[in-house]
Amino acid sequence: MMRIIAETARRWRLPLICFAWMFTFLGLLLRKSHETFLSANFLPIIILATVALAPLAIFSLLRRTPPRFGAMELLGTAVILLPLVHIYHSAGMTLGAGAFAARYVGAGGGAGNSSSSGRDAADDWGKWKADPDAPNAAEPETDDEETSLLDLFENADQYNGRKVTVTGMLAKDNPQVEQVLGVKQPILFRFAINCCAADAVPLALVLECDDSDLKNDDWIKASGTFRIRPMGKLDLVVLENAIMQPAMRPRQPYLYSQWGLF
Amino acid sequence: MTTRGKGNSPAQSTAAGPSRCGVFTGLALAIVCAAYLLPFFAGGNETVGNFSLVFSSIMLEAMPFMLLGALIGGMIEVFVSRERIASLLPGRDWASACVAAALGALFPVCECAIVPVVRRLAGKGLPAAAAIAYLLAGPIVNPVVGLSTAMAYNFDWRPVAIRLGFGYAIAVGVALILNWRFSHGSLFVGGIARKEGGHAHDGHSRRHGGRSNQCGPERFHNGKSGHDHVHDGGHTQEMPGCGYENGQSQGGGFGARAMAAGNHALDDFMATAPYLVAGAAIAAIAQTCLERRLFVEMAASSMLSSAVMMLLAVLLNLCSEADAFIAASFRGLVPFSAQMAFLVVGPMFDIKLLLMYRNFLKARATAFLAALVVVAVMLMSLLLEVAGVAL
Repeated sequence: MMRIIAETARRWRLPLICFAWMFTFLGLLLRKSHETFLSANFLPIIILATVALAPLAIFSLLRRTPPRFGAMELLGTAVILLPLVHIYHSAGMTLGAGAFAARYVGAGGGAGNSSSSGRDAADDWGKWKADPDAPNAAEPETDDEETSLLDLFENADQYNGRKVTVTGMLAKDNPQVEQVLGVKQPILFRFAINCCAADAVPLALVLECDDSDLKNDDWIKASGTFRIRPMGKLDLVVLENAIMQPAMRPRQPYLYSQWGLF
Repeated sequence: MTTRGKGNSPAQSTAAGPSRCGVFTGLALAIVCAAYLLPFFAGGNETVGNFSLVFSSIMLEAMPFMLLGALIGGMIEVFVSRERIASLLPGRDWASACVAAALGALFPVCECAIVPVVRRLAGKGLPAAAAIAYLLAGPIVNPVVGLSTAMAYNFDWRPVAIRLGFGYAIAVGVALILNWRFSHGSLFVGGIARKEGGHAHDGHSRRHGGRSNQCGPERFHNGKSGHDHVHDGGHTQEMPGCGYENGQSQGGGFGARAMAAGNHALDDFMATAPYLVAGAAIAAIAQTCLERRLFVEMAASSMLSSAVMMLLAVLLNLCSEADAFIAASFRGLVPFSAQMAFLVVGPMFDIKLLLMYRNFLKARATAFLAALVVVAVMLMSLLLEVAGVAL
């Protein structure tokens, strides 16, 4: 019995790996769920990977003498297939408040700037452009329409004192976030990425609002008056008199650079 | 097969190998099993969720480029002769290193793709200095990285010039020192190292209890059959992941060569992927557990901040096309020299790359390379500080 299992594993190990990865890439493409992990600009790269895996899968089937199968090969197979479990597990997830606290460094990509003004933060983020296809992207001139957090940071002076509506995730009663920002208020945050979630940088607004039943890491839509002002030890961007309501998770959870390299 | 390096004989390795190998394999299998079970038993935990997401992201970002590198490597193996490679580069080591370090400008590849390509090129007889120079400089000295760095720094071209210029110089310097310090055989693992005065056993290598096994697929390179293969100590063994029987003949037509190229690509994929996965997992743990602002707090002085930012680059394992945006987010918090240290070190070695390098560089050579890069980048930071270069 063990011999049959070993022979089967020997014959089908390489095809299994190739086809498993190929179908994973194909599934990500068909469901467009690669945007959970990568910039939308990576679509051609995912297509390339799917296409590249196809001949490898065929070659693995055509091999006349499959490689031997022992403990090391079992380990190698298990290691190569490991990411697939995590991909299926995390599809549809988004980095949450814990990641915000871990990644926040205090300037440019955060809610504020300890060294100067919110305008500097906006300057730092001038390189980011909102994706026009993203569900919450909007022109900065509008008062009532929904605005992207990237737009707010890019045109902070222009928005200062104006009423805006913005979508993001909620962090409240989170000691890590409170420690990082030095404020007790809830915040609305979102991540901007260039390539993948590994390079995600947090953007956030402090919300001045009444308490609500909404929970940490819930997606919310918040409306209020946008201000840049000192709060605690930082200059922060704040949404005054904010009204929060639950929102659907956007299809593209991250904000992307428009100029994408691919 | 004889090499110039100090390799274990089969007798030595078999005596010490099985118990150590068994313990290592068992331990590794236990860790991998735990990693499989993690999402099922702790899937609701935010930290585990973030780990899964970052781990998956790094893998999905890197895997296409690694596949591309494996396919290019397979084609180089079969369709490009050693003579052709030799004719492309100058004969002198320093000149070939200088040319190879600039090849990224013509063939822009990221660090995940370049490893299997260099592995094949080294096996085909590319001079060690040129191979290392291309390996280190390719992910930095290329137009895509230049453009992304320019964008991250609001089209201030000084960071671009400094990053690409020092990246090039450090890559050439490290390559020449490695070439001087190590012979080809002591630099590359068994399957890559050339047999003096004979043919190269291209590409295939596998470490198992300290022993290198070679499989000679050269019969596919030019379509000739019946090529003799002598392995260490006269030991002949089927190469795991190779799939060819020794002595098996192949026709010399395009179909057979394409098939051979595909098989080589498959071998490269299978040989490199486990290292990529392991590196991505370690990077994801670092990304999930380490708070970046602590690195800023640790960076009290200029030199210390350079060291801390280099450590951060090694731990974060960012793509060279995206890392400039992270470096730019540290503006005003760490000195410019430390940001440049972050940008030069990351594409040359990080956790993922160090593990991937182990697939074709010997452990001592890998450690030496890493140490040289660290020293060179620290010197670069010092120079920038002394020169007072700032944004």
